Amino acid sequence: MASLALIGARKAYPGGAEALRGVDLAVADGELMVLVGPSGCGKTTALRAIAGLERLTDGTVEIDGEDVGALEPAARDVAMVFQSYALYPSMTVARNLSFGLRARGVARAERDRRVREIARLLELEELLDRRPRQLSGGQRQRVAMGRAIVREPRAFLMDEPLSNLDARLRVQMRGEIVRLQARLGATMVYVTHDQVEALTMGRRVAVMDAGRIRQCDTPAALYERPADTFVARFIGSPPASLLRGRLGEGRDGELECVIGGVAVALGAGAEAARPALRAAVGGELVVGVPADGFALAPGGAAGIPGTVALAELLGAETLVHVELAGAGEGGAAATVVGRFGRGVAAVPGDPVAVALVPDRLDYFDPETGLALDRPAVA
Amino acid sequence: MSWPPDSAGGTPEPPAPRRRPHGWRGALGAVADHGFLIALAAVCLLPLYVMLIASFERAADFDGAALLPTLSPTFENYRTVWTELGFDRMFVNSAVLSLSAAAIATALAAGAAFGFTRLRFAGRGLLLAGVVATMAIPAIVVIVPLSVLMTDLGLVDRLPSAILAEAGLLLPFAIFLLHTYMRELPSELFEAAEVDGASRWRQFREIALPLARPALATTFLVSAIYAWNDLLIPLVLWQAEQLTTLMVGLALLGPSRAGTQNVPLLMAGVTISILPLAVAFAVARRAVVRGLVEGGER
Amino acid sequence: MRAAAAATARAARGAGWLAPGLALVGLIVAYPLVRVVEWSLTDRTTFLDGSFVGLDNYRQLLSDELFWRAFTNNLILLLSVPLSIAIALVVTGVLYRGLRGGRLYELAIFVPFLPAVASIAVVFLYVLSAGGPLNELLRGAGAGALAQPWLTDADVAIWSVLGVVLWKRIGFTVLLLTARMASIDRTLLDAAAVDGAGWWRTYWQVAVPGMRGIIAFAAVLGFIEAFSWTFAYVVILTRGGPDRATYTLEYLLYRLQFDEQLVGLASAVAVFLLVAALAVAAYRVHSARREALL
Ligand SMILES: Nc1ncnc2c1ncn2[C@@H]1O[C@H](COP(=O)(O)OP(=O)(O)O)[C@@H](O)[C@H]1O
Ligand SMILES: [Mg+2]
Repeated sequence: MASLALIGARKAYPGGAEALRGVDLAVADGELMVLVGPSGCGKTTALRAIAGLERLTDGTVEIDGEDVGALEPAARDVAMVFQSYALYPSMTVARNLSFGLRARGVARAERDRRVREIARLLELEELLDRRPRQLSGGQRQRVAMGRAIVREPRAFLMDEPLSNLDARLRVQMRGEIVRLQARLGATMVYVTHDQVEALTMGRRVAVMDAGRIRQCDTPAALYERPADTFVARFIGSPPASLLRGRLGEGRDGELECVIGGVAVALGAGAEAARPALRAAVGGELVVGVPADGFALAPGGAAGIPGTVALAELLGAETLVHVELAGAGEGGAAATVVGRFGRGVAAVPGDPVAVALVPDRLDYFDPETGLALDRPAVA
Repeated sequence: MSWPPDSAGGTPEPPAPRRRPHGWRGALGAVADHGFLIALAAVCLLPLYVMLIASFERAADFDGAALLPTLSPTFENYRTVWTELGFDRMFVNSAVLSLSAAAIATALAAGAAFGFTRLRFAGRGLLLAGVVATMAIPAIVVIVPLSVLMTDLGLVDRLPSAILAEAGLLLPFAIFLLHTYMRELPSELFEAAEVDGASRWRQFREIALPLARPALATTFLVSAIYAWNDLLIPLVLWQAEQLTTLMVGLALLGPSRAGTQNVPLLMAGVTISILPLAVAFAVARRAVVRGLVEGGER
Repeated sequence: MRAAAAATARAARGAGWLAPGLALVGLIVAYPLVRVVEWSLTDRTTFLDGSFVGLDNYRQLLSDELFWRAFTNNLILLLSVPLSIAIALVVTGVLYRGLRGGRLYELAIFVPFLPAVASIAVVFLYVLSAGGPLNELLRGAGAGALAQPWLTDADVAIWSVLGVVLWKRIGFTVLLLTARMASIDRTLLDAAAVDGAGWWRTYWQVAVPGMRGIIAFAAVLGFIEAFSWTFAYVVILTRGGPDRATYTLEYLLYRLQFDEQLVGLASAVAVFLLVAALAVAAYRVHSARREALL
């Protein structure tokens, strides 16, 4: 296995679309890196650039520290699982699995041994003589994985391999892929547009938007310290709500934030955890409120006054949408969404008071969208 | 080509019956429609009908025209043209010309179509436009230098002359047909193969060819039909008697033997020349129709 | 530098795939095309290389009555284009008006397209002969006055050839039109019917305009046939006769080249035919471009 890196990668397709706008991504040997972002943000392009199927307009691709920009896909020795699986329709499963080995001139006995081994590993033994169109979606997916694994490549590139499966199978396969990756000690870049999948699978997750990586971090860090408003709005279900506030100092010099006309004391801990806040005093900022970042009290209690707009009962929990007057941009109303137990008392139309939990809040520059207490992400 | 891809599936489904006005006007209209179509179908089929009828007449009894089937049909005419007029050898020559020209055209076209679809290189668009333009060049335009060229190469009256000429004239059409098919194959298959380390040649052999099999069959079939039906090329390049094809044989025998006594023989010969086409059409109607339609003017 | 080298390498790899095919096309089509233009400017014969004579061959052709007769005959055969399209339009309209067995009629009408021109021509040699089935049929139907020597009367022969060409073309034209018709949105026809338009009005005003593209295609194919593929008809049906009344340009070319050995003159005729072919070639490239096939 090998390490992978994209350095300053740019890709402009002929015809204009700039799919990568300076991507830096380093994947260590044996690491599972998840690349997540909305559709069209450039994930596939990034994978194809690593595989050698697209040439970068600028920047470099490195495998094991070596610049492979000039190498053909075959010479890079990485395996790719396509979103469509790209199984060869005219070949049986066995021949699909052995195709890469034949192409590389692996001797027949060795080929057969490896195909058998992979077939056992992925429970494909019964299917070896079938053709792709005779397989279910999940079976096709496993053959595509097997075709990648059997080659024992230097790295795996997986492009939304589970997006064509039904929800249950998807959850099951997530776990299997993670176990397989750990067992093989494989270097893997796993692409998905599903942030739940990303958070559950990755040790490290790179969040991508519009051709740039916004943040590359552990799932916990992405959730707790989003680097910018995009990440805050993308990660978590439901994602964080964004409010507008003005940062000021209370009488005792402690920081407070005025949201929807109500001053919220940030507490002593806030400044210690986020030193940059002090410099923003007097300015407007964007406050990120995660789904577990506020409590509800009856109308008239202490907190930001609001109105319940919607309460969605989702089995064990309830999502409550509260509309806050004057908490949005330019004094408009804004909505916060929180996750509560099923017993929460929230009836649409009821007045409520929203009590923010200062420790759970994030703060962003309204101009750049970047988190205030983080260095800008390149 | 302006043949619309949406109808490339061959003959359309039969039209759904429309509601027509009820009552005697509707009935009258239907009778008129059928009458018109029956008349036209009769005009289309009658010549082939009289051909078949005459081919079973006894040559000695034949008086110039037979409109009804004879009561004592004979296969004698078929036996005579086959064994005595040399149609057996002509049939073989036609088959050799048709099948080998089709094989060469299809094989070379498959490689070229793959090159055009899977490779990006300078001048690709121009070359492809050249191929399409060449499709419109009929054999008659190039026959003069072609016959001189084959003479210079010492190939006249040798097998390769007509076969190569026929293949070369069919090739642009074959490339075009296969190209329009291959470009629709999902490119991810070839990319996957590339990442898997497969050479172009392996991609061609193991992925493109198996997937293009229906198009290859159509191309081969239609090329074979064109070559089978062609007159000019074998007439000029295969002048030796032992290389006479069916079409050349008909062209030479027809006008010189059109006398009454020979008509049944000639008609038997023509029937033999059409038979393989009828079989091909019966076996693979869709492919034949589609290919002929796309090949158009040949 | 590197990019240029890579582009060259890519072009070279492309050449590997295209070379065999393009070499054959080059040998069989491209090289003769160049030669035919070159030779049309010489007085070359089969036995002598000849010398440059400028446009003499063209001048000679243009002042030759036979050339003009041949050209006129090509134009007469060109009438098969509007005729076959008109008939095919009516047939398509009737077929789509809805009746049982439409598919069978379609098949019957298509049948003549399948056999070779040579086979068909020999059949018609018999059908149109003086004592042949057509005249018999006419006499039997009491129209004996119409019976005539179809292929041996100098005034009639070329029209007979036109009839045979037309006979062979109609089925193919119907096939083209019905294929296009099948993809016309039926709700359009239904809407017109609901609006109270009769079938023929609906057909002409709604369906036929939608077939304009395919009609143009049929016209192009008919054009090229009338100017490039009449050889087999003429050489079998009439051999240019009687009294050279049915010469066409292709037959003239063939005779000049292979009977009179006048390579230069034959080449000049070929160049005339080439001009017609190039017009078609331009049309094809244009329409392929339009459909993004190139
Ligand atoms: N072959 C291509 N030509 C032009 N633009 C493309 C091509 N492939 C992708 N794009 C564009 O590049 C952007 C990124 O695409 P992609 O990498 O496929 O995104 P993702 O995989 O994240 O959905 C999109 O805007 C897409 O439209
Ligand atoms: Mg994608």
